[in-house]
Amino acid sequence: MTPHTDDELMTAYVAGDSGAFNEIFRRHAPTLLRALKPGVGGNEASDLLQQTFLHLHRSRADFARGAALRPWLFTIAINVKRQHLRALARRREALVGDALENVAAPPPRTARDELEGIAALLAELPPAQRKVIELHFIDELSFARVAEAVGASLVAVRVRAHRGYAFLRQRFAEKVGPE
Amino acid sequence: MASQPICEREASGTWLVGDELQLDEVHLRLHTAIAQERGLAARLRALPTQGRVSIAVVAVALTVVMPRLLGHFDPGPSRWTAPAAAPALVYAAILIALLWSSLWPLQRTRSRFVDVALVGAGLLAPFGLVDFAPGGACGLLGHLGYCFFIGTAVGWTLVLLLRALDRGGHQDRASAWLSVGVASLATNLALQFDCPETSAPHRFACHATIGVALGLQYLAFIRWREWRNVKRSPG
Repeated sequence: MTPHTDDELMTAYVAGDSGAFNEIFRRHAPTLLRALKPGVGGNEASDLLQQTFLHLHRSRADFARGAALRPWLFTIAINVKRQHLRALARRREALVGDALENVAAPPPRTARDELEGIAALLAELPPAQRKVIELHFIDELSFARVAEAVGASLVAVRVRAHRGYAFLRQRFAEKVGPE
Repeated sequence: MASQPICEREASGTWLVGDELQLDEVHLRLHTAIAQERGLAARLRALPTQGRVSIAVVAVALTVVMPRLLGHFDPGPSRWTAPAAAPALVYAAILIALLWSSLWPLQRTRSRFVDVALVGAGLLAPFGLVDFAPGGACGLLGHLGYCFFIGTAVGWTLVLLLRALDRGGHQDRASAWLSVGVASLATNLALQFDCPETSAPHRFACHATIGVALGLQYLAFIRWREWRNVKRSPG
């Protein structure tokens, strides 16, 4: 059996064949995931991968027959990652400010240091809590949407968020306070 | 030494298994997310970029031209005269560039510098309109003296339409700011054709400031949303 080309698969997907989308995911997701991981970590990379393919779904009508799918997907992935890092940099101030309301001004840190610091703290959370906080705080989803996304009840999601945020506040205070 | 290759294989194997599990999870979540892509906004976002841009162009053109068309039904004298062609073309070009950039598809690379320049143009160009066209039409809206408030309301309607047409979602701040730039310029052009008050101070204070107000309101909105997310976090 001759394997389908990306072009054929996208054409089939635009025509409504969801199986073609699954094949595109199977074919390109591993490479994209590896490309997304540097600088953001595994769990965030999987979220970015999901957003990349969601954008592919939304943009499917733009795909021109004969165009190369791989550069298309990679450009979407790069833009999604860039937006995510900018959002993370913006949230950084809110998160740090909330935890350090009564603490003297911290020593100057580079944006990269702080991004890495936040990523490291998020990585310390149990996966279930981390997922909820990423979706709620970084992606700004409501708790109801987060519950749908992670397949848990609203109460369970709120409990995970409560524990996760409490942990992050405590760790931020510990980490920045003594300096 | 002898155990090192085994460790490497184990490490490699663990990574691959973990990766596959991660991909399966993403695949499942992706199907859920795609299933939630319903409703008018999802349909608009799924249109080809040319279609999305066309809808936006029609909406903006109607916003700008509608007051002029309605002016024909006004029994009062019209003081409107056609604006000079060169500046009209410049403003139209800025407006189209802003529109196109605000709906820029994610599969194409974009320039942050161009985005910032266009947003600046969208917010500042209305100040140049103070001396643009000699007079308004009938002033169906302008007679009321509510240029600023009506212009702001119309501007927000345009921003919401452009956000609905954009595929980037709430994280794409650049597109949101470009939408504010479009609204700023479009509402000013609309008021230019409608408001009978031709004095420079009025245009400066009540028309040109609409873009700045839209920008500040958008800034306040995103700050409020961030504050709300922090406060809503339990504990």
